[in-house]
Amino acid sequence: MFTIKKLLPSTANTRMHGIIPVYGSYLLGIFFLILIIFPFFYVVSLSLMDTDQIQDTPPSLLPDSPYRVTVMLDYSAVYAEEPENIDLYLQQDSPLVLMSIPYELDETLGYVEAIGLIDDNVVFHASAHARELDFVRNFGAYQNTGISRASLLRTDFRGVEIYEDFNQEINFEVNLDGIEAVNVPTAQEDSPFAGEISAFLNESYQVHGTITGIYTEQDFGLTLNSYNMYNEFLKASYGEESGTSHLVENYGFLQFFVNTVIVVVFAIACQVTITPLTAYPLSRLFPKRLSDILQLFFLGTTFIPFVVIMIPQFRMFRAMGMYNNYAGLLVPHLLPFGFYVVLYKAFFDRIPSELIDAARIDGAGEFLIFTRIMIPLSRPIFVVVAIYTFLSNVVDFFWAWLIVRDVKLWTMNVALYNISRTGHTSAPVDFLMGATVFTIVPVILITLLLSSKIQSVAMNSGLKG
Amino acid sequence: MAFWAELNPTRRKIITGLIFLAPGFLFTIWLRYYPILFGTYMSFFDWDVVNPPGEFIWLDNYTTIFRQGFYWQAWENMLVYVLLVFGLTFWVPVVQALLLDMIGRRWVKNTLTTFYLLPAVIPVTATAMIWRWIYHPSYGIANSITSALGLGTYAWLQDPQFVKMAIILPGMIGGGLVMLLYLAALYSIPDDIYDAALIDGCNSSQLIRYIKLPFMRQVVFVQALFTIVASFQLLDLPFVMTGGGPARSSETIGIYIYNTYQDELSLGRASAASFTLFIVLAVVIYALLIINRSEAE
Repeated sequence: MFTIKKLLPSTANTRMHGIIPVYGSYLLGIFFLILIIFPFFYVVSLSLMDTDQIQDTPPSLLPDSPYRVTVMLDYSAVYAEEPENIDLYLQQDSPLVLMSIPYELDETLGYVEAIGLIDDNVVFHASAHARELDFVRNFGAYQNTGISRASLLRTDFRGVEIYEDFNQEINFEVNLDGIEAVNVPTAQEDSPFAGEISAFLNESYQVHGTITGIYTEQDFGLTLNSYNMYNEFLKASYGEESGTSHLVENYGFLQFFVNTVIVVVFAIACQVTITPLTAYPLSRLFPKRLSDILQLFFLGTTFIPFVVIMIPQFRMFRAMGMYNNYAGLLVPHLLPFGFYVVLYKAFFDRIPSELIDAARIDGAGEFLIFTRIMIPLSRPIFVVVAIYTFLSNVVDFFWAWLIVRDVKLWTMNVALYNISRTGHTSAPVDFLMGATVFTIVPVILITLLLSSKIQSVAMNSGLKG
Repeated sequence: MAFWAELNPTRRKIITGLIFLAPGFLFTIWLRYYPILFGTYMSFFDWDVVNPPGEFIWLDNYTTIFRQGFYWQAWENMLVYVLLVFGLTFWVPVVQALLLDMIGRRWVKNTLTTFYLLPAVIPVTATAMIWRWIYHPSYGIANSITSALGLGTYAWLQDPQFVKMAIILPGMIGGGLVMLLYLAALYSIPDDIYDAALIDGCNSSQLIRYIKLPFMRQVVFVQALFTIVASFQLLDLPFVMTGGGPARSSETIGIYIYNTYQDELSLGRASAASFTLFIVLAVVIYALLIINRSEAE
């Protein structure tokens, strides 16, 4: 008994419910916690896998730790024989090594690099993150090509060698005088896959250099790099569509986040300025009959939900030129929310009128009374409205999606939906999952920061529904 | 300012009040009352976008949509959604609030409350992305769970039979603001009631049945009304998850309105459908308000 009492404080709660129901509630509470966190955990996990692993059957829940593969090549002999061709050979070896290894090797790869030496002097360095290579295959230089020596070295319809394009898409460096900033792995043990890799590189792909070492190491940190790659991919594939401003091209997902912040902040700003201004005369300045009628007028808007007016409002906004710009996104939030009008009014009603009368006798105008007396005394209700506006607008989707076309104006929700629609680009699944993570993480962080505020608002505001 | 000084104080207050009220009043007319009137007006025309208003056709838009099977199917879907919500997800936050209330340790309670709040801010687009993958016929975990239980595999979102359930099911994680409101109701139970129950030897299930649930009743009832009204307006989640498919089996009236406008390019019929939804919703909300009032007494 003693230990149980130590584990659970002997509150009135425990005494009332008994030990077993209380333990049960802890267990069930944790069960629901897992249920709530699971979708988030799942999407983070998927975003860290490569497309092969995402399509595992049965599905795997945790991402593999990917391999970093380094292939050391020696070009001393080639350089001695045909010094005039060395540039060409290095250019060709870059795709031969980087593209073939992810394709042939049946392991999760994170990073592939090739280092070329002439007389112990690094002259060639090519490297790419595995996601980069995926994108090269799906959208870049080697779009829709098979992986073999012939197809990697073929020319495209313009007669340009594809590997030249490829070398521009990845980190590629050649300098016969020697490259300084390359970490040459020294005296490592050869990797367990060395035999397999050198076999296909020598036989099927016939690289020009002599393979002197193949090193692999697992590095989980490489998966985190994927997020950077997703952002780069977004910039590359949507940047040029965003109009002349290059905002998406430069900032990627950050642009969508900023758009969302603009909309939410504007909505909150409207509901804490226009709405109390509307409610104040109802509470203090008008005769009761007029106030009652006006209150019904504002509350009546709750009978007109968004779905009912979205099409006429959309036509209206288009006709007024508020389509595909910030005006279209922001102007609907100018509406004083009927429910909040009533909320403000109820709060203003409770402020003692002696304060206001005293101010009037001292010669204060109504605006001064409003800003100096009403607002400071009603701070709690402003917080309530701000929090509720935040919660309802951060998830808002349909209107923003209807009214905006340009990529640079997308909010996070619009961006995620538009990116996920197949037909535009068949975006790879890992990228979509990465985009989902980008969408959720800021909102979750903000909510966790505001959590105690939100809880006290919901507990004390008397908004029982 | 002589004119202003001569006015009697009541008049002065009204005029100041009107100035205060003006922006909010105008925005309300412009952004709510005008669109609904304009929409009603459009619903009587074969609306021509280039040369508005086009031909006046009286009630033809209404008779056309009433003859469309899809229109009635959307209403039917909506009723199924309401039933599914009450069958699958509506009670989860109630249970969660009861659980949190029983947990005695402060930090456990606070941590859990914080995490339970998160579903309120996860956007539908993200929910849809995650669950579309969970439901994936070959790579998703929904099927690996059902097949592990020996129930076979399904094409959840492509199967008209399951799609509506699959759309509602993400709500089973519960939480959100609603749960906080329930919790607030539980916290409002005065201590002396607990003391009395303790003296009478109340056990845990009796506590829940005779004390906690009666205290939550009012809030849960109001939330039920909100849920019904919200189900009538359901738009985002089915739209993002399936777009109303397959074969319009997950389509709501909201999606029907959008599709009529976007695919059939008929503003008139879209407006007519909007107006019918408006009327039905107004009746439903009014009826629920009256029920709520009589319930509260």
